Amino acid sequence: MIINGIQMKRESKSFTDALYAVLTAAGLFHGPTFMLSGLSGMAFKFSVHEKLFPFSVTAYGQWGKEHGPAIDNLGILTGHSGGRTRHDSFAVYQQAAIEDVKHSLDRGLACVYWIPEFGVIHGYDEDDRVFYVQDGSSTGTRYVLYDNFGLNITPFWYCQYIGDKVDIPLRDAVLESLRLALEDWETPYKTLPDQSIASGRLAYSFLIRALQQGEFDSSGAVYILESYLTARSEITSYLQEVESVLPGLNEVHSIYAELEEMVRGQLKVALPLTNSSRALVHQQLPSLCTTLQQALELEERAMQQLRIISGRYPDRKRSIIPRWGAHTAR
Amino acid sequence: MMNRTELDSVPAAVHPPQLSHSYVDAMYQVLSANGWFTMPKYMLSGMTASCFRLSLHRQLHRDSPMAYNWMAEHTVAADLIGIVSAQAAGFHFTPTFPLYQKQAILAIRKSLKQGTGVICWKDQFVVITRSDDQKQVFCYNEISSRAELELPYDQLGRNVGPYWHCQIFEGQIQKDIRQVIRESFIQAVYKAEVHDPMLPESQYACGLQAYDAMLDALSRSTYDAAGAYETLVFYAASKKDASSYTRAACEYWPELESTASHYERLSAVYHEIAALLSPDASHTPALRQQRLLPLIREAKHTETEAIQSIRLLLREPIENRFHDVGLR
Repeated sequence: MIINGIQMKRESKSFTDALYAVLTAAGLFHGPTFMLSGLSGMAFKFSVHEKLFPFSVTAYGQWGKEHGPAIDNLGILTGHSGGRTRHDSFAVYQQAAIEDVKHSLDRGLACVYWIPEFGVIHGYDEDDRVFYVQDGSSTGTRYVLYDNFGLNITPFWYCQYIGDKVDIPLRDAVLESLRLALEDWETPYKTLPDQSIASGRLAYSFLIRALQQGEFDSSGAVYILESYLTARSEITSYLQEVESVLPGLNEVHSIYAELEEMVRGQLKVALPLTNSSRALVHQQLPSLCTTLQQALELEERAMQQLRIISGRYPDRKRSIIPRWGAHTAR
Repeated sequence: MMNRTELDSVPAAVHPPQLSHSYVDAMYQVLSANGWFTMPKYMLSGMTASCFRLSLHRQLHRDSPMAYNWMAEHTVAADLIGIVSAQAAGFHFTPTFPLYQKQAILAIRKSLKQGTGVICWKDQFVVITRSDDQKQVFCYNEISSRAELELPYDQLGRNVGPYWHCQIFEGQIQKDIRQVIRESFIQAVYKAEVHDPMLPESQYACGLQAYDAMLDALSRSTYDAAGAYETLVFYAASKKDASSYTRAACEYWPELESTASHYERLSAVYHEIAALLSPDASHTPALRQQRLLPLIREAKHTETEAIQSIRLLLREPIENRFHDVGLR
């Protein structure tokens, strides 16, 4: 069993890319990646570990809690399996997840899977007991044995399924995406009690501080900055596309366009492309930090504007304390 | 089936209070019906660490005992005792709710066919026990009255309140009871010391911190009297469970003796607290009010001692978790 016409490509955050591949193959999403990234709020997620480790980019919270509302805003049913592979119950949940993935594939729906990072399960072979997995960085297919499903270099496993869809009016979806953005911006820590990873506004401070102090993972720094710029570019394109939907959004778009241009110029110098990969030029660190400080101020202004726009419309979801959502890993 | 004899000394209210029944009451009904749990209910309350939860609205609103992250806590509760579960929850006014409702109806019918009831939120935790495809209805049990009521499929989750929630138990793995008991006490420490991140700290307090919020509200007399009554009566039942559980756990692990004594004392203090409260503020004369505060302080002191005794007993496994005592 293999789903044809699916090819994950790394452009954005790996979850967004995987989701994009899954949804477009299923005919559940039409349009460019930046629209998916914007509408789901994924583009606005920004998290930084104090030492700038590469995992910063995917450490934007407890995944179920982050991805659920993202996919919900596309009007699409979703569910996930995951946890710590060391737990006694892993083997049972693993078996259930294997069946769920196969069931999903039988219905023509691929799944998002933590390799790491996020990839796509797009087929299986029951005789060989393997899943076919794409990671988006090459066009090849990787194989994951059923027996190894969920086992990876990290302590956790994760798989996201999707289902049916309802139509959400564009204006409603855009408004909700801005509110998701505000949540990410204003929540300092999303993986409590761990305070070594910051989100949103505080993520800027962590990034600037590490670059100033000089004790950081250099490949992580490159990855964080590249991903950060990609996200700003996605946000700019997204806002350009939807700015007419809500009054005041054009101003936010202008701010992000200015921010993107400024950061792009700085990163050309600070992260030059040599032999098809990028490396940080250490002499550029002070000016990079200055640029990031300015970017923080611009983004703060954009968020203030978003708060004003959001405040004009009732927000029932956020006026009631939920019975799910923020939690610590257990 | 509810164990609330301590209420006998409470004066009858003008409007009889609707006492909250807990998730554990519903869980016990499902698991004892299909033989997945054969011990008394207080053992379930303890082994799932549910009786150690204390969340409190700062004005003592009646939602206090239900104000916690159901998805997170119920996943852990089931996992602690080796029950495999699946659940879903959300606001029923969202555009995607009909998709989730449709999926939940299928999953619940499947579970019922396999002979396992399903926990659902119907403005309280209830247990769905049967379905009738011809009439398109579920039958569910109210925990309080044990009455069997009908719920049309298309009304599933469409509650008066904004929430819907279902949990399905899918299977069981064998666990060593000594390990289960040990982990339940580590989770007790977690619940005592860590604020539920779902709850805004400006409005709610959790664990041992809840006592200061309680003292604050009661001494200012700005609290919701009916809510305070329901909340503290609910927690008195939790502490009673904690006491019975810890005493029973001593059989498996005699070193819990001093912890058991603390919880026995704590339960006795809560018994006195519950007896002083009334659902109507006018029935709580100032004199009683004055007697309440020292009792709450004593409860705080006693529960702090109970947690310290657990920390001492489980020092190494707890320290192995560094700053994250809840992460197994």
